[in-house]
Amino acid sequence: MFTPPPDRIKGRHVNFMLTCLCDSIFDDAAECAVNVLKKYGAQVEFPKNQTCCGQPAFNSGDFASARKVVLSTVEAFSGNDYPIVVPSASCAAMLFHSSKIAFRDSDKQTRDKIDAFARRIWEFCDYLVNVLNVEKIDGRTKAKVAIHNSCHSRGTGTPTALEKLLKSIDGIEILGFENSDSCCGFGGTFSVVFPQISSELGLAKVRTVSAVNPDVLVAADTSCLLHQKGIADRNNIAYPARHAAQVFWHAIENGGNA
Amino acid sequence: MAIQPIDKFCENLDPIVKNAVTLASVGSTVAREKTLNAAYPEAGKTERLRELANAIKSLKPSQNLETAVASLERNGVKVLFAKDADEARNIILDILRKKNAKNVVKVKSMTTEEIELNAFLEKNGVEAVETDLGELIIQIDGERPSHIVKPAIHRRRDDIARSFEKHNIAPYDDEPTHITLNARKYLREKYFNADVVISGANYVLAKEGAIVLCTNEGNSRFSMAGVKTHIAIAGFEKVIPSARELSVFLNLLARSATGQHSTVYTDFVAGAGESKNSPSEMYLVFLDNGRSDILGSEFADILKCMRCGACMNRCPVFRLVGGHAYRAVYPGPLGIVLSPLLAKDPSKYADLPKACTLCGACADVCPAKIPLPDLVLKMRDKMKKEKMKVANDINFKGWAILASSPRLWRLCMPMNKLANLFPLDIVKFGPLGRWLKSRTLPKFRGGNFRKWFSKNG
Repeated sequence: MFTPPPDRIKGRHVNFMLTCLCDSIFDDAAECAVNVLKKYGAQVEFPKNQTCCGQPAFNSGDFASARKVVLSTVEAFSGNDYPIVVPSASCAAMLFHSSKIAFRDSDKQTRDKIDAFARRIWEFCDYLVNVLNVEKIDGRTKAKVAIHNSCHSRGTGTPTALEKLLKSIDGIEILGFENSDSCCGFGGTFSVVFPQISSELGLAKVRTVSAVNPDVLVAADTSCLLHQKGIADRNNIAYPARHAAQVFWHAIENGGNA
Repeated sequence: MAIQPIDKFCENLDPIVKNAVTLASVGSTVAREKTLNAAYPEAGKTERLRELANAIKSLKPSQNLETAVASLERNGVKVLFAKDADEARNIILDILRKKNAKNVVKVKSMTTEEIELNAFLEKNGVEAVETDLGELIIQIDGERPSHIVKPAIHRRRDDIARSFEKHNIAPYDDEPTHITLNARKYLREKYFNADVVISGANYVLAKEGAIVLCTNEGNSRFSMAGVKTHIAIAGFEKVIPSARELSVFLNLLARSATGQHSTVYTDFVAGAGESKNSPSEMYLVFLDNGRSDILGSEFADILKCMRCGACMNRCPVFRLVGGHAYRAVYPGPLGIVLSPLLAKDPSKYADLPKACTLCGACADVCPAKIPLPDLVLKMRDKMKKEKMKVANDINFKGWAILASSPRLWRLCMPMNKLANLFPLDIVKFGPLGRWLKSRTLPKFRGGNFRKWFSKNG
């Protein structure tokens, strides 16, 4: 569904896109992502003028505000034309798919700029497997892991890449759970516009995950985790949510040659 | 605090009904996958079939329509055009009056729901009885369908049995097979007394000049058997080039809808017949009701919909709240795009496109590969441009200034840690209050990564 452009730019010299959630809350996930990228041979740049992908306004239907932010992001990464690695499937989908909708009525020059930018965008796991050709995370973690595939990774290389990399870690056992392909009800601003529906869906997700009693719940998006963990905490349910990058890096630190 | 009507509906919904809707929707999704996998075990074949359905529906409807009218008329069908619901209702009433018809039997049709035909006919002294079991169950209680394929998905057998008792259809008996038998007995008499049958059309075959009805209960055939006049109504987007293309749709429709390989009955009605047990006269009303405008807009893809309901069966929001929450004839992912487009006053449905997490599951199952989440977003954009107000909407203007001013952003980011000093849980209003009502927030750590990267990057 949120299919990336077929002709994306590859390369080991990359920009890291922090995302607003990692900038404000999940710095540890972002640090792990950078560490993992470097371990597998990427040269990582961090353009400091980056802010947010524009998704909050876009998903709320305020395309004018979204365009403003997207253009600022495009500008922030204009210092080079390397690929851009994003530790979030939904921010990645915003920039390789949704931005085209936001700019559909813009002039050709702007649309071309947005299309060219879309070809640089890679979600973190997708990039590791399909650009750096990582076959195995050299590490060890003795853990039963449940995977939450975020909805915006539908139709991308992320779910397969995430599962492949997790399976490659010594000691990890993947647990399936009921309705694992259902949305957790976060939906960005949906979570505050429809608090009742969002939290009911979230609680259902937390319960089905908890039912299989994983040591870790892993996702390629911090946003779904923010919502699920917040609901679990409110309901006093222990919920070991981690970003994929954290699981990879901790496994490497634990048993690889970090 | 302003509340979203659909969110409120969810809060107040009887947990038993909620559970029934969830189980039935999830069940249909599971069945869909199973039958499609059984029919097309080869990788990518279902996908190709869906692409084909999309491509066929992309053909110019006007050209198909022209051919269809010629073929239908050749087969003796009287073809009429209605520009809106009002005109469609009056065209149908006119025919009924000419026939002096007082009793109508109906074959389940969402298009007749769209034009609110039953209430109109009743007001004009015509009894129109729904002959599909689900439709009959909701009709006797004056309800609307809560699902486009399974209209009584929200009902339980005990309250159906009570309804049957209340409306003198049968004494209380909540054994499912007995409910069906009681409805059957009740309907038998209606078939005998009917003057006219009114149906929709799942497809109209342009080359052959026929309509196709896909049903499960045999009620369409019973309905046809005793009457002399058949009136069908269809949106013009139901026209496909020929029976050859129909195979694509018949291979997808029932599997997508209910997880059956095929509906139990597939009727081809190619004009009125001479035989004793069939109507001797047939009308087909082509309904526009806003479709021409949709066709010329960026929402044209929504007209490819074949009304299978797979999108709502798969939708996390629909699964939780059911169809009545949407207040419109068409609910779920299909409805939140289509209902505002069909409405005379779209502002009354301004909240519908918001009732979506943009998870994209609907697009994964749509047999016509309609890019539903993209259409939902475009609809949100349209409503914003047309300044329609929606409860709980967040203003992003200030945020957009912050997020497009890198220096200001960098300056402000570490300040979010100040929020850690306050007991946020006391906030009861605004977006933050709505978030905190059922969730906690982690500690803010603004700017930490940037500091780390400048040292370690």
